[in-house]
Amino acid sequence: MRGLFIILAMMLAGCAQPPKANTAARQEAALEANRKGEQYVSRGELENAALSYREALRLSQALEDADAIAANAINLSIVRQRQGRFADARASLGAVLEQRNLKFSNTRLAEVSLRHALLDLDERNLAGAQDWVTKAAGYCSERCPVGAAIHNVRAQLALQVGRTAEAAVAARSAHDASRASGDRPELANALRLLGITSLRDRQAASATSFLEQALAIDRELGAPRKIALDLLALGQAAALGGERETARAYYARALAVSEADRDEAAAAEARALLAQ
Amino acid sequence: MTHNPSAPRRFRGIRKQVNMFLLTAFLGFAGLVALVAYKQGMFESHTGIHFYAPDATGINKGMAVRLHGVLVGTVRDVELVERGVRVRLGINSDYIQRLPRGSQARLTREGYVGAASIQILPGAPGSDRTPVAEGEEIRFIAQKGMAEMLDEVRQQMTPAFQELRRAAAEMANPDSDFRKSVTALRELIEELPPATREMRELVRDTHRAVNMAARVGAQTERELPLLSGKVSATLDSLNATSAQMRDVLGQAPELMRGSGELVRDTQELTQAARRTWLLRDYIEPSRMRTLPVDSFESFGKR
Repeated sequence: MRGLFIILAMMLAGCAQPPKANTAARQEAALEANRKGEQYVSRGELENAALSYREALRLSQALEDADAIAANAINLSIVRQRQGRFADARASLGAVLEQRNLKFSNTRLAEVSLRHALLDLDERNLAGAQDWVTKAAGYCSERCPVGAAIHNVRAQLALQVGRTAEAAVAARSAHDASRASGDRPELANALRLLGITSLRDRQAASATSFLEQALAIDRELGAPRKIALDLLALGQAAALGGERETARAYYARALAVSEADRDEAAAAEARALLAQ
Repeated sequence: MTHNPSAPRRFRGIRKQVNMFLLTAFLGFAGLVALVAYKQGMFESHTGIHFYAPDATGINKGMAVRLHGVLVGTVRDVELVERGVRVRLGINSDYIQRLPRGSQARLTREGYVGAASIQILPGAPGSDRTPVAEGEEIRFIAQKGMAEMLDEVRQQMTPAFQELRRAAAEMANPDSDFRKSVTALRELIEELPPATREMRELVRDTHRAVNMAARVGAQTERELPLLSGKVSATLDSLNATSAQMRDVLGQAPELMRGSGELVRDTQELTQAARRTWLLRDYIEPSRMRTLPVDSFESFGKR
């Protein structure tokens, strides 16, 4: 009789429906919110993007999906940083760093640490940025996707404190790492930094060479903000070489690009350089 | 003293009895063999025909051959040849007249788990109706398996579902022509009530102006009613059009809601379809996307 009950119980257990459909629906909803967030970012609707990523983060947290939590936390921090809401950007990264019960991959931890470094860099907290970059490098293994970005942030930190040679070394490492991994955006960033370090060393020809390569990649990638930065630096390189008219042409191009992209900071810098 | 051995009385005639017993047993055995042979069709005349099949899976020697469900023969032999396998059939000659040359054979099964048999399909009405003869070949129709049929269905359904998915994505995309048209329509609908009100005011103003003009002079007064009547008719017509437009506009919100529900339903349908085993292998799985962690995120601001 007891055996019969056990068999019946096993049969009933076999008939039981796993709670797969609900999980799949929640995952689908999180993916949909993530996709919407990306669309809003591409259209420049940052507040809507933040709302979508926050929803995606919440749904991912409800499922304890570590990778999705990290992805949406990083996305939310990027959007909040672009909005100038640094405290919110940091808070979103807390979904990864303050969550001890979930296992995040080293790559995700490196990305999150790098995002912290970028936030500190944006707020000119150079010591904090240095700490976070060191942490990010600690999480980064040999084939780390953010390896080149880490070198580029190190180069920017060195430039901030006037250590041009150190910046050039870091930018060169970023250049090699990004070439090896095929990371085109970071390759352009490394070339731009090499151009800027050459400018600081008053080597106009070398700077122009690096910056033209960076500009070509940025135009391929369709990154208007970086195109404007390349054009401004190219103008400075031309001015350094004594070519004032060429420099003004670069500044005018930078102004046109930044105005079209509604990038007020770059437009203001271009106007200031044109007024000189 | 001599002893004459004589057989005991009880063994007398034993030879005859043994012979009778053996004869009866032999006759019984021969009858049984004959019955089995009869049942197996040994005493019936058979006509041998054959067909070629690419694969003999499920075809065995001795398998029944049926015509309209009636047993008309058996599979005599299955042998490997260049074209695959040659299956020889022995058809009861009584039924051979019912098997025209255009007949086709196919492997069937009584239900999903029943016994398999070779089914003969008499040829199509326009085909050769003369009976098949000894040693002739008939065509074999290869039966599609369950997996093949499902694969075929899946191949046919996949483009349709992809189209559906594309249409749903187009409807869901805020930048699509459909969504733009719906938005433009909504804006137009929202603008129409004020326009109708303005038109009514214009009608009233015109009417007042006409009444004022009617008082200008006697000569004008005589001609004006006709003109006023025409204007009035035009205005009535405009008023009627306006009322009809109001009705149409009254239905517009319902239409908009219906469109929204249609979009949602289509999205749900597409999502459900994407999760089915039939399609999910063909659709690239969606994954959580991360914005690029750009080392120059804040460079221009400093």
